[in-house]
Amino acid sequence: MLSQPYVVEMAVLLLFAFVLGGLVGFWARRWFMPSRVSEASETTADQANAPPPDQHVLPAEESASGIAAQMHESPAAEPDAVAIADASAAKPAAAKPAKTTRKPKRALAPEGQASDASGEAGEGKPALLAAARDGAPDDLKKIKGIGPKIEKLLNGLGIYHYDQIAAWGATETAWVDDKLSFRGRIDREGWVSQAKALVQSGS
Amino acid sequence: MDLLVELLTRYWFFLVLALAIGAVAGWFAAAEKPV
Repeated sequence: MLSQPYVVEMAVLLLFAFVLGGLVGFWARRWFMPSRVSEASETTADQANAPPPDQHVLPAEESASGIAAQMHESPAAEPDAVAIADASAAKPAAAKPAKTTRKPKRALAPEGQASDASGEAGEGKPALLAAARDGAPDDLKKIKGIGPKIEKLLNGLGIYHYDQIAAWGATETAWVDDKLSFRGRIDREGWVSQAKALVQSGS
Repeated sequence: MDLLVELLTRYWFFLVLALAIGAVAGWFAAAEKPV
């Protein structure tokens, strides 16, 4: 019969069962509740590098590009590309033609924000502000699902106030969702209805 | 193999318990967190 020597084997079995259960639970949630799960892994990984949450107004460039670099790795190169282009402006133009003609993909960088504000033909684009009204942005973190980093991303897009979010319709929501690669998170978490409630409560 | 069967037979409850705990942990690990 069983006796002491099998403690290790039993521990291995228990560990295996735990890991198996973890995988089952993880994928069960993803399978049965796809609406509640999306970029959990990337967001948790990014939280480790999150800047202090007490900066409401973007100092502009570093915040937007820094967050963009953390949330989406690809736009990280864009401010650098511009910097490189500026630095090499004295050199012959043929040195880096691809860099100088490169166009920002997202509105997260200041250049992108400026181009959006000037009216890039975006269907369903919501009303964006160049800066918070009276220099006092709303605390978007009161909306469940928005943390410090997403708040900064929204500010980078030109979204500072609850009433801006409350005014979103389906197309505007889709535009922001696509812009920030949230894959439907705005609808899932009901940002618009939460923002409407916050506007009504006057907070 | 005999040992495995013996362990499963005797301690199946603990294995199921570990599986359940792991499933709960995995469920919450998959949660979407605000950032």
